[in-house]
Amino acid sequence: MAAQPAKDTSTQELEQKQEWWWIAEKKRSKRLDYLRKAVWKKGALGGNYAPGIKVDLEIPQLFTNMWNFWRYDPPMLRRAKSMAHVLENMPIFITDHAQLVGYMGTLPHTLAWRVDGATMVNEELYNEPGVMPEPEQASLKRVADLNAYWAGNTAVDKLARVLDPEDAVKFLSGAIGWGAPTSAYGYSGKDYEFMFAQRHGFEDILDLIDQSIEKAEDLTMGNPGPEILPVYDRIQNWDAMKIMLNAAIAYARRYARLARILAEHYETDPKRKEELLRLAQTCENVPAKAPSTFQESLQYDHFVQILARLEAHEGAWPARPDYYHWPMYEKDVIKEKNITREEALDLVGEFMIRAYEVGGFGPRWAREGLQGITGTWVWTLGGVNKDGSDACNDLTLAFLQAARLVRVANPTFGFRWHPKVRDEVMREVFECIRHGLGYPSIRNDPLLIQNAMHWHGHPLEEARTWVHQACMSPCPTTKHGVQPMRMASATANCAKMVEYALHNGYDHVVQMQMGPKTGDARKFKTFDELFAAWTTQMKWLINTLVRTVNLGRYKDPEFYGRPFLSAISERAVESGLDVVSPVGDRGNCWVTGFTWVENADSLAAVKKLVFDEKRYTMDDLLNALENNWNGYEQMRRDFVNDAPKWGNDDDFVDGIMVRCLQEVAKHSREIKCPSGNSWPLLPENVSGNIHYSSIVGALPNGRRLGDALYDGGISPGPGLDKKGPSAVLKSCGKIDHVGDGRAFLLNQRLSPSQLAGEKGYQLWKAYIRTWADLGLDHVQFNMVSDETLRAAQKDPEKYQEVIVRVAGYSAHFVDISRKTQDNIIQRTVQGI
Amino acid sequence: MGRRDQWKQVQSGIYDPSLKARTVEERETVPDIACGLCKNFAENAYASDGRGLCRVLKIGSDISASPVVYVLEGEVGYPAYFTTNAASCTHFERMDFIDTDGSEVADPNYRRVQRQMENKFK
Amino acid sequence: MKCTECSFEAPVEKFRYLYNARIDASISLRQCPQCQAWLATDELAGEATQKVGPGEAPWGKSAGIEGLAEDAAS
Ligand code: SF4
Ligand SMILES: [Zn+2]
Repeated sequence: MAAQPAKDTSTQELEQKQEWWWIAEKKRSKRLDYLRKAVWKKGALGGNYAPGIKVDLEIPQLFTNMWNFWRYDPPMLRRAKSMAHVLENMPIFITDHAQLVGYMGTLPHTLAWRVDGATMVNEELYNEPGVMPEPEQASLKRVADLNAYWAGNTAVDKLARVLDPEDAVKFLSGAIGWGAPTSAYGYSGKDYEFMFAQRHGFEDILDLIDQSIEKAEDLTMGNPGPEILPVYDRIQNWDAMKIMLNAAIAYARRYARLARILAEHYETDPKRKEELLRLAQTCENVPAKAPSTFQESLQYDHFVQILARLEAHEGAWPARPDYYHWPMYEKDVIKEKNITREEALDLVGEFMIRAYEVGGFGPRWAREGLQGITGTWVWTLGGVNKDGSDACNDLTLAFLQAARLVRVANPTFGFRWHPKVRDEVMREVFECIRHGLGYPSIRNDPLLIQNAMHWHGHPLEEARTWVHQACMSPCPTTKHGVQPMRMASATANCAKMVEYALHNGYDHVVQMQMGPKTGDARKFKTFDELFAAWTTQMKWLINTLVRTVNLGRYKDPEFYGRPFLSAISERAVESGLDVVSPVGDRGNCWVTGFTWVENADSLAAVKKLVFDEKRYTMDDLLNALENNWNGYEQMRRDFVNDAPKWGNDDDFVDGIMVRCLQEVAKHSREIKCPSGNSWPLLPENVSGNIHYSSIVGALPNGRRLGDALYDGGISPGPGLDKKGPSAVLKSCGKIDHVGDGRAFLLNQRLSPSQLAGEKGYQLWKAYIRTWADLGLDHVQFNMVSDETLRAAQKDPEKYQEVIVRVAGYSAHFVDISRKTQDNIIQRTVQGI
Repeated sequence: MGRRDQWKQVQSGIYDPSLKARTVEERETVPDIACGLCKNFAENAYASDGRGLCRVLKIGSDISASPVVYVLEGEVGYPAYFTTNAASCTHFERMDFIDTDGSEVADPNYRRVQRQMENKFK
Repeated sequence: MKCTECSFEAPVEKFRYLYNARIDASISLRQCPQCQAWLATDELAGEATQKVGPGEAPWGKSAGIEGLAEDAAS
């Protein structure tokens, strides 16, 4: 680290200056300090990878060699054999002082490359500046060869050939949505109930699979008939799962061997020697057996995450660590006192650091939309048990405390608030926010449980297990509730709905007739005509994305498939079907709504200034928009300042917002996922509002092509919420957070000086009470002053550790682009 | 041509070129007159491998044919790559300023972030 | 409009539009095509007012309800 705090600066002084990162350095153990600093940052700086970060070419090469060799096997078996070869042969490493191991690359500074995901990502990787391992020329040749092998044969290529070509072209235009419709790049829920609550180690699962195969063989060796025909494929799938589980156990034992060799031949420090031997024992025990210590519990989980990420580029990290690791924590720390709380805190901190380390090569749209991080690792804390009692425990506190010590931007936490949460826990939550981490986000647990039952019919007990499937969407961790494959490609660039309604479906940025021709807006005589056009464009846009995703899900066992993920999912172990098959999945889909709020503000501005007050005509408006407001500055200001804006408790625009949401909610019931369940909307942005800034044209809310879009799912436009925080909450409270959609992201900036000390905590707690009373499901806070943020822009070296909440995630401020930084500073600082 | 066939044609125009095996040398060459250097080229923001659409020519055009085929009416632009040789395109207009900085975000009009473009302007 | 850094002169649209400083005011950031400086631009007057460097925000507080919260006041 370049800058150092004055050695004699007291903690108190640092607190006053809100330089929390120095406090963290002072307070954390030597081990955590070392481990935190030893991690390579994999998140992109704006859209570029940091200097020194290289793509791992070893794993794709190992994988491709075997994939080619086993070309006559069915998809799942072929993948399992290829993966087993990778696990057997990939170089592994143990970081100094580490007590947890496992990485998805062969060296700590490498990015994993999902070589069989999409040709266009492979091509992008070839053209990417800075990421080729030295010597560059040799690497380029190697990548060119790998690309040639996979061209046309990746999961996305296969799907693109089956999709309707019009849908394919429009989706891949980059204008209306993002994500890739394959589990090669999905968000994979984990069946934690199966692994942790039911305590299944991999050897136990192997036994279960053998029992399933035995039963299946009763059929295949019995009387012939049509019902036994699908069973042959299932047996092959079970074989694939077994290969993966055995390979995973062997992979963990490679770490055990390495740790033992280090301990016995190289380590001189007796304490570290002991740690290495314990690590060896840990890796021998898990994941083969269910964990029997806290360290094993964390290591088991981490192995599962790494193995899953070696199998696919997972974009999210659904988890509930305080709940599933609690039994072993309680045993080791509280009941048997095998380790001290400080030792446990070290493990928890390291557990977060190991997740922070994880990174794969993502296409540029993903990097720009998730600046500073490599995926939305939003871990769930708090909440209730299956019987409705408070699930917060001492491990919840330990995670919140460890977060302030290690200060990583990823993972972050989403906290399931409910009325029974103890004050002691709320104080720890607040401390994290006060320290500027931007997390935990606060989620309204009772309301979201109701929402999960309302939209997807999860039974109460299962709904209560929910975790964040990505940034925001709740999903159970149960046999039929878990969602093994959510694809980000049902992510809608919603501002295009109003843009297309105004331009007859034509996209002036990508120069293509995208949406249906809903009529020349210059001729619209009433607001209802415009609204009808908007509704048609909305349905078209959502349908196009959902059709793509549904087909991707349906075809995934054939086009990609997940033998490892299947092996750790109860329903696949039982059925012999690839877990990505929709069979047995209750369905937990949602349409992520990026750039949503512009619709309400834009429609309201047209209604007021054109149709109600007739100050401008549709002709005037369309002329201004077609010129990107150039030459229409006074008019543009009228559309900003004289039209009501969302977030000010103004029924005129709030009513339009609710009307839009209700139209979508109605449509959400008409469209179905492959399991036959609904597709509710979930308005939120990651940094997609910046990624799309030069892709969404000028709008009637006064933005030009190039301006950042609003940052939240229902956050008011930055600086446009002029009536204070209660007006924001009241506007948001007009939305039915159960019936109108799946969840609604609200960003708020609070004043760090106002919220200092005990008084600050009490103010914040009262705010949360109001938030809950008004029935909102989400809120998250930035509590870093403008002064600090501008100073960080000026002197990034000195402010490397400043963290901000971007949208559904946090990032180090210096890692996000200037436009994104300014967008965060533009947000209104609310005095509460 | 029916709807599906028309869109099939667009799809293969946009996606087939990336399936062609190319040597490192072919991949590294950005001709001095290339679509990626032209004001009319709009880079795709979904696949940042340097594919894009022409804002003037429409689907059905072919600037590598002889004689060159120009189609100026249509609902989809002509698919091109930043490396597409545009020596015969009479609509080529050289950009005065190309942004190769990948630390900001997508900007189809101004930004070209491929390593080869960065090297060209170093 | 004239670039404050290199004096390049052209109609305002020839300067690459970057983004607004705050949506409710007429200040934006544009980039000079010649020297590539980021310029604070008064969109109403069509004039570049100054170069914008790292950490600079010549328009003051970006946006918000100035005065309500302590940190927003300065
Ligand atoms: S060179 Fe011709 S085809 Fe290529 S982008 Fe320019 S005008 Fe279009
Ligand atoms: Zn200049």
